Amino acid sequence: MSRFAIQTIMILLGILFFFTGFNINPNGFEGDVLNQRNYVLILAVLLVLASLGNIIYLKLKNKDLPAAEKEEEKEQADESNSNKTVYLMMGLLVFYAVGFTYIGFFVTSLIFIFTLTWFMQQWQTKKIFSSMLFSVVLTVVLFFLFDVINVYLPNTLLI
Amino acid sequence: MDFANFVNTLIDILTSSAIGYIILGTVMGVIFGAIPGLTATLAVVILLPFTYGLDAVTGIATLIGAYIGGISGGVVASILIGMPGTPSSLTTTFDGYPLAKKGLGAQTLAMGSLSNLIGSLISLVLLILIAPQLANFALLFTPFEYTMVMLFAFVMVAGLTGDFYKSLLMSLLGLIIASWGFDPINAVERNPLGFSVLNNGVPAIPAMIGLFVISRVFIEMKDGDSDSIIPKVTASKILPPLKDIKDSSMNFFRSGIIGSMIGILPGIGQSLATFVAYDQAKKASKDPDSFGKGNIQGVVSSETANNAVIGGALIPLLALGIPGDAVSAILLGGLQLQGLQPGPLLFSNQPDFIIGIFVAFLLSVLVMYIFMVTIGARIFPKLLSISKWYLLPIVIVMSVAGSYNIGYRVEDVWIMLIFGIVGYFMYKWSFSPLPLVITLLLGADFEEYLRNGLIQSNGSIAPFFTRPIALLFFIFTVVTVILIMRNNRKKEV
Repeated sequence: MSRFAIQTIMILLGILFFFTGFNINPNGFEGDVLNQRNYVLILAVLLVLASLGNIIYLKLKNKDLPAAEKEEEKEQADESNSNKTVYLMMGLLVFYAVGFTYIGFFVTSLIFIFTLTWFMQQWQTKKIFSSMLFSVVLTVVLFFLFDVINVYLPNTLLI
Repeated sequence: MDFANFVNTLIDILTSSAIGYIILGTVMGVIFGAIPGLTATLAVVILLPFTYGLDAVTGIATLIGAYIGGISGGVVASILIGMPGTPSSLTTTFDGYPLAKKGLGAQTLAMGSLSNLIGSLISLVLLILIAPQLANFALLFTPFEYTMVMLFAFVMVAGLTGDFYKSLLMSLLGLIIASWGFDPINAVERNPLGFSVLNNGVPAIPAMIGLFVISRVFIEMKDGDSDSIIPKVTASKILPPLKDIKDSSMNFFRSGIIGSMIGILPGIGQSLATFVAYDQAKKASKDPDSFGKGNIQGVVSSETANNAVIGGALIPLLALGIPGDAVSAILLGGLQLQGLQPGPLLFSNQPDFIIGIFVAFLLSVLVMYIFMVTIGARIFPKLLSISKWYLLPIVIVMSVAGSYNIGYRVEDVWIMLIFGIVGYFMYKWSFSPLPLVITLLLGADFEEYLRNGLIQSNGSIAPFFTRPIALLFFIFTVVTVILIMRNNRKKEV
């Protein structure tokens, strides 16, 4: 990961928000001074300028950094290697959100909790039963708890 | 206020079923506040229909109990698993979580609860003594003052995090994101990216749950070497040592006053007060560098201020009929359900009811503290030190259900998820999510006040810098920037 990746992303976002900002209808009541479009455009320009300023500041600061600190920063950057566990977890959460939206909270929760619990225990065969038991018990508890405390859930295909 | 009436009302409540409802509301609030995803607002919403059949004092007392319990309960998850149960407990995670990691979870929780108690009592005293006067002070704030207060808040929060410049970028990004949805002046739809999920903008609470709770789940997954998030605790010694309480006395007082005073500002108090109190505690400390690494004074300032906000928020509600935040708005609904109209006349026409509210407030605070010290501080650390294989799925499921129940919109769950992923990468690349959260919480108000101010001044920016209170906050902002930059330079040297 480059040292300036976030700042670069911010600059790109600023440019994106600046140009897409022109999609906003600027019309409003007559006395309006700073309209809804200009407000966004100003913020987008400020974001780009602040990001550029930050890059320049870091470059100047880096000149004065001792070699050891530079090495440390490099290590920090290298540490951002892909982490399969987290990415798989993110994928699972996307599945959960899709299931929550279309299939049903309890059915999706049951599958999600079981998969996540078992996955966190490295798919050990001996842990499959405890993971299954935990997912069933938790889902049943949630079913009755949400009923008692009036937690609403979206209308979906299943429960 | 007549003291004899206060005592009589206290006895009446203690000897009737009202005390049972107060206990129910408070304990339910604490449990809701303790679970990431569920909030004080949700606890009050759920209890509201049940109060319809109760008399006015008992009904409102139940809701106030849930409000106090919900805000106080946020301390639990913030300290024990580093996931703030409520927005008002964000700053508690900075020091509470590192302390829990050292095995001091139960003791920190007890100190946090004591701070809740003291913060509430300070705001109650102000509520009883000078509610109408304080409410009038809040009326002095026009869009110019609000704009400058929020600008000060953004700069101050950026300064609280590690890297001021990076945080400023996040603040700007947050302001842009907060502008999505319908604009506050002309109600024009602003969805420049065209995604339907963003039609109604980005609500702050689901985004906050994503940034602080879901991203922490990812972090815990990545650091998968330990079985539980915090070490197993033996809660033998719960009560904080007298020396700690004595050392915190100034912090209690300062944070309580800050919370109460900021709490009276409708709309922004809850989010702002803890940050200001934390910042002031850090500045007043002899060892400011230990803040964020496990300094108990960080927990004290945050938890004292967030409970002091409750009394502060009740001041404009009761004295002027202006609800300052979501919970106050529901309380207003509760009052109207009972046929009461808050405002200056409520104090003169319904003095018994007002005294009833004060007594209920006092009892709720005491119930909360007793519950936390006798049960909460012993049970919660044990419950939350279970294996994370079991804890994390529960946290995720509750976060999903909680996010949906904020606005009953599936989009909020997606927003929570997206911000969870964003929060994880921000953590990896050493960007603090705090500036993003504070701008999401206050960004829409900031735009509204800024634009309204410009409309009122016909485009002139002079009133933002010449009106006394606005000028005062502008000076605070400039001084804060200078202090932050000087501090940064010192660290670099």
